[in-house]
Amino acid sequence: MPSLAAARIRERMGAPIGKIPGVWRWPLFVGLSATIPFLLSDVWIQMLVFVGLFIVLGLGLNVVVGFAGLLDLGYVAFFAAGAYSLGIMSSPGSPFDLSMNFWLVLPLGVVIAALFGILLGLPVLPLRGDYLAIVTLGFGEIIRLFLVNREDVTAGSQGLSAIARPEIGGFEIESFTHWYYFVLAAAVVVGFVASRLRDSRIGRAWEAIREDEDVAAAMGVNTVKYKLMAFAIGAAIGGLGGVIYASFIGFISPAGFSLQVSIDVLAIVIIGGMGSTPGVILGALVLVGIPRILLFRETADFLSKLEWMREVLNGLIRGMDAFVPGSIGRLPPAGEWGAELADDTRFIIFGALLVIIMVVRPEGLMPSRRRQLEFAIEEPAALPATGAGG
Amino acid sequence: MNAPYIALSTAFWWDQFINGLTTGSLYALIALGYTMVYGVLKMINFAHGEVFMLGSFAGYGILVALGGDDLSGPMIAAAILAAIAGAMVVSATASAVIERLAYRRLRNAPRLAPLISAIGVSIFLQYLVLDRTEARAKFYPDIFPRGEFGAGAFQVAYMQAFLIASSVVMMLFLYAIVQRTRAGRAIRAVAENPANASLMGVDVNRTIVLVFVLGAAMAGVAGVLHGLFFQTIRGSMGFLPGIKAFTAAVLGGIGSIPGAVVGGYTLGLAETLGRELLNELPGVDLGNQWRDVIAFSLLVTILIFRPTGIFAERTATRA
Amino acid sequence: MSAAELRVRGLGMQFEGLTALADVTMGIPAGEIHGLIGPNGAGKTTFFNCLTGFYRPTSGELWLASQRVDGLPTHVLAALGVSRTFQNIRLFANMTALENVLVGSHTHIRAGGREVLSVHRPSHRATIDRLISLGTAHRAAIQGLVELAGAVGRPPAVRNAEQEAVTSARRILAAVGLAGRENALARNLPYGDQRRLEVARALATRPGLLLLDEPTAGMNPQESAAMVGLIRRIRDEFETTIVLIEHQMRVVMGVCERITVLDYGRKIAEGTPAEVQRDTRVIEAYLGTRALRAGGHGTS
Repeated sequence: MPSLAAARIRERMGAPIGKIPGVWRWPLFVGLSATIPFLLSDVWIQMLVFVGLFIVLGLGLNVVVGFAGLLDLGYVAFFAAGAYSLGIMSSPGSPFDLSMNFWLVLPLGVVIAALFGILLGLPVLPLRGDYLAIVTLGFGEIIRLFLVNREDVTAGSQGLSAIARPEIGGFEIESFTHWYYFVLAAAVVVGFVASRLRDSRIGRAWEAIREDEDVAAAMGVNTVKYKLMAFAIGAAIGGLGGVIYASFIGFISPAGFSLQVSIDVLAIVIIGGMGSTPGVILGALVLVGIPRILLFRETADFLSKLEWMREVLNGLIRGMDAFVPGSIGRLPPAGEWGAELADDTRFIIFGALLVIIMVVRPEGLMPSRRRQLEFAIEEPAALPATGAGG
Repeated sequence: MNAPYIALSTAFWWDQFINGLTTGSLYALIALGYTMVYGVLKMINFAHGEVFMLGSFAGYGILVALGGDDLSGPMIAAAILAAIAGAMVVSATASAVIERLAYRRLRNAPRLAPLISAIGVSIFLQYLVLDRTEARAKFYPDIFPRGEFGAGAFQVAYMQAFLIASSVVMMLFLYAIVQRTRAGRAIRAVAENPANASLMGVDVNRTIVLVFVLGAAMAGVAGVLHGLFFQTIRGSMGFLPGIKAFTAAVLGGIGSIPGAVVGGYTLGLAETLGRELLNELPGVDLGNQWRDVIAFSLLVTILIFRPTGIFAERTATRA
Repeated sequence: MSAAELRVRGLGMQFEGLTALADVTMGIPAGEIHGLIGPNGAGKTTFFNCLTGFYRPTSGELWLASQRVDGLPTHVLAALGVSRTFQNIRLFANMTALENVLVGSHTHIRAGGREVLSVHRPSHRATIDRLISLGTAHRAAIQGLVELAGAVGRPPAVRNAEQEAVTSARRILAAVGLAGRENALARNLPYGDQRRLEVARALATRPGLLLLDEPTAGMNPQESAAMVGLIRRIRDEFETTIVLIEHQMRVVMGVCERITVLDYGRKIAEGTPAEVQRDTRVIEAYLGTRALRAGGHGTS
């Protein structure tokens, strides 16, 4: 258990976001974000579009896991529901020749995803903790197997392409910058809805269910209704992300909707900071942004300058060969370090990171105030109630 | 129906039955690890499938080091035994290290923390091995004697017999430890009530480590047997058997050792025979993928409708 | 909500191999402060669990204010006016005192649209049937959507309802003596305050029947006396019937108007404190003759 001193230090480090008064945070964020496309090249903007998509997904899962405390390991199912709704309804290659307009399918996809949320939520209502996690994982896998096997509905492994793009009047979203603003708008809307929900009677009900479900019911909270609501909202947001994703990439196939996606989104929420919107943003930037940045040409160019470091390290390794011959092998060229990290070793680091964060800072990098308190050590009754408690 | 048709049918179903027992043995061995850890810590050890995988690779390494495909005669038996022993050690060590680093400090944390940590370990180990092997499969030396024995339609391959027999031996061994030794008593005490056990002088930490070690040893054996039987091993091999073994553990009543065994065999038979039975229905042609669907659906159904398992003891419950 | 009359007829709770309650019959007039005592394991908390929907009684009937309520889901019972505190305090530890009380008032905050289950006039079995009928699902869905819209849009009606709830919650906190502690985290409160907060939270549900499970457990005589005073005030100011599980005989005999005694799941005595004290069966059950007479602690 972390010591009292360590806890006090962590508290002081806290979240810098806390220094900015509440009312200014959203406009500041939106304002700053809006200027990004003018400052960065297309490669960066494309990366940010992906980050933005995962922010949307993270905010959605945050409702389920962070607000209501429901451990969902099958979130990819809702993401897939949205994506495949658009794919099936608009792709010329789909088994159903519909070629529908993007804007028509968008709300449909969200609603379909929400319905999936309720459908998947109903049977798991009595489950708690680990069991809930495993069952939702099972559901996610069943959905993926469905996508692969039912070619008559989903075009199976070959996937769906030429998916519709959003257009308004004659203006069609094409460039990365367009997509960036589109995703940014979606993230802002989702973030706004999520925060309004959290600060409402619904959010309080979720909090109570999260704390002690039986007692919440004893106080009049209809746990069935609110848990289903959490699943539905989370799923709807996931579906929204799915629709946008499908349109952005233009092509979807079952391979893109694996368990790894569920885990990625969960990691963003957990590592970024559970229950907190800034945390989700940070989580997405770190877990989605950094691996992509490592793949940039600019990164490779930058890393090439570190070739001298490679020489030094290889030399050291050669020295170690005296003790354990050929144990580690040689490092690849410095310019390739980025690609190496992003590709092979990314998941190794990812896994290690999950463990390290849980053991060292389980509340995440930038948790909401309440999560911080939840994970803080129990203060012995003898201590006076310090500011830490408020 | 004429006689040869019946004989073919019977042989076919008998083969499927033996297949079911074979995979069932593997599931049972792995399930033991899940059920024991859940019994003492009330947590699902997500990384257990990877412990199984590590055992499999350890066995591979040992067999290759001892001569691989060049082994012959009595050396084969010795090599296999060495591989099994080595795999047990490797798996047990890995599991103990995992417990110490990733789980121990999280025993009193909110439910989410050890779960995420376990997932992290699972991902870490999977991709570590995938990276080291460049995501290519490794192949166990094909040294186990081929051939079958039996009467008429009822043939059993030597390999299958060996696999099932070894599994049963290991299970009996584990059962003996848990039921007959002091350490086993300690395990049962901690599973029932850690606080009380501690008050009665049981070293809870040591006991928990022992639980991890025993379960992992079983999984290590399963890893080698899997490698010998299916030949192909890869870094990602732990995921599916892990989930299925967990299903088996729940099926038999999580926390119950006999339950894990029964659950394992039930799942193995259900998977194999079930698919074939369904295929008998007109118009149904289920490919291999559907074995997984059956397994997952079974998992989901059991957890929703009967989380205490089919064979769990009923005790007075409190709200 | 006004005080409700409770009638229990032949209540039984059977687990596999364990009879927790058997054939319990009793009647508690509206507004009474009623004690429930008995040795450990007698079934007292089980009785509460049956009254609040935590358990589904295996036999018997429960009537609250002339409505049949056995078998109803927990949150419905809460909306009908049954509320409780817990033997081992079960507050929402990481929420503030105010938030805890606000959860209690959940059903009474208008969030746009009425709750599917009208609090006023459901009838026994029809209620249960309605709850599982499709019509209810439709209505629940629509009501849920309205509530969602209200939460996101925050029209004046919703904001006012929240403000009212906060004001009323503050009043309740003041009534139990926790004024000014509203922003303290529940788990940081001292033990005695936590017990009072639990009572406040239960009061926020506007109960007609308030079930207190060992409210003075772990308290010294001073705190116990304060709790007794609070209980009396609650019955008078909040107009609710109170049933009290207690082990401290002084408290029981002091504040309860009538008492029911359980032993091994059965009712063995019922009456005024004086009557119960003299009842030989009760004395036998407790084996604490002198303790009973002296009005001290009951044996466990």
